[in-house]
Amino acid sequence: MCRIMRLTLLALMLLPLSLRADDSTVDFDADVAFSSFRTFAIKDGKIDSTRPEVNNSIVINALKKTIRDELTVRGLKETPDKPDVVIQYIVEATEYSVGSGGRANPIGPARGGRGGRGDPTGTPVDFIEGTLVIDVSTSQPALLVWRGVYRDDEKNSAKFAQKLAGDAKKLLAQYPPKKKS
Amino acid sequence: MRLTRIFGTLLLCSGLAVADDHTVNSDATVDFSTIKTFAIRETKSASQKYEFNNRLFLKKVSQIVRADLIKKGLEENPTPDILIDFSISTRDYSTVENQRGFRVPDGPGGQRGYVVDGAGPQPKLFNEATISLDFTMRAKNALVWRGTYRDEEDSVSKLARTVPTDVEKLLSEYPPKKKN
Repeated sequence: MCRIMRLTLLALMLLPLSLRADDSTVDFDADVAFSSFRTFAIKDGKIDSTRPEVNNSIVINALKKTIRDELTVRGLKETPDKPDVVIQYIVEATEYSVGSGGRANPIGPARGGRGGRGDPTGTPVDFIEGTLVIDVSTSQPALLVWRGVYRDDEKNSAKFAQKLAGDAKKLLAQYPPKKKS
Repeated sequence: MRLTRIFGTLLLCSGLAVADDHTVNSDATVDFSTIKTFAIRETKSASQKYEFNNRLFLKKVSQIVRADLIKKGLEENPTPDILIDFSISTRDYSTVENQRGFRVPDGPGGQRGYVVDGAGPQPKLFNEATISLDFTMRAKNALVWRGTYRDEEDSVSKLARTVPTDVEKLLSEYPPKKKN
């Protein structure tokens, strides 16, 4: 027991403070009968990263495949014509550079109030804040009924890109939402 | 024992959020017991965070407000005594944290203690949400009650989990207690 505590203590001390643990949020419309949805279509999503390791067709296709597989396993069928629900994804990767004083500054255009730092090409990236959003909307009328947001801080964009499909799987593990008794 | 204490403190600190604060202002000249009906007029998100900039979140807040006021005996009505507005905004912050070094004491059975060096300065990112709940008397178009809650957490996901509770905490202060 004592040894476990010592090891955990050491591990906690060694954790880099800047990298936060993965975390996710799922929100849904409790008034919607998710069991009535039988078909889906995946719309092209938004990739908000200029990094080629994130913004490329291999990563995007792997993400789409995961979404497709996860929904198919749950009994939904992909159809291009009049699907019950439309799936859309958003991928964002905000890069940070840690200054000599220890402060993390976002690289490139300012976002979210943390202020920007100018030249995106000349600044080393110390870590990235990655975000994956998966939206499920009804098609008629177009209404958002389920949203999953996965936040994944990684050392670099390549690591985030590698984990995207897995992050999508973890989010979709919470679809359809469980009924409250 | 000492090791257990250090361990416990560190575990607590690892998930520690920055302190929340909230304020409630109310019009002392208003007799809140005469207010019987309400309507939710506007729920607005000025946040760009995906957790908050969508109808699902705003609907959840509306449901919390509605359930709380109905529980307190008010009725929802299209021509109400009070109109309720909710808004949320978020900000991101980056600060710097230093960790002090410390010594882990000797363990039982001859296990030797060791010194853990201090670390830093290291970046610490956190997120802040400010929520505002306004009650406006419809007849006079006058703000009679305002609750503001500022919540800081070390991730947006945590904020998404705590904000609904923050709304409940604000509502727990409505109606304001009469001063003797």
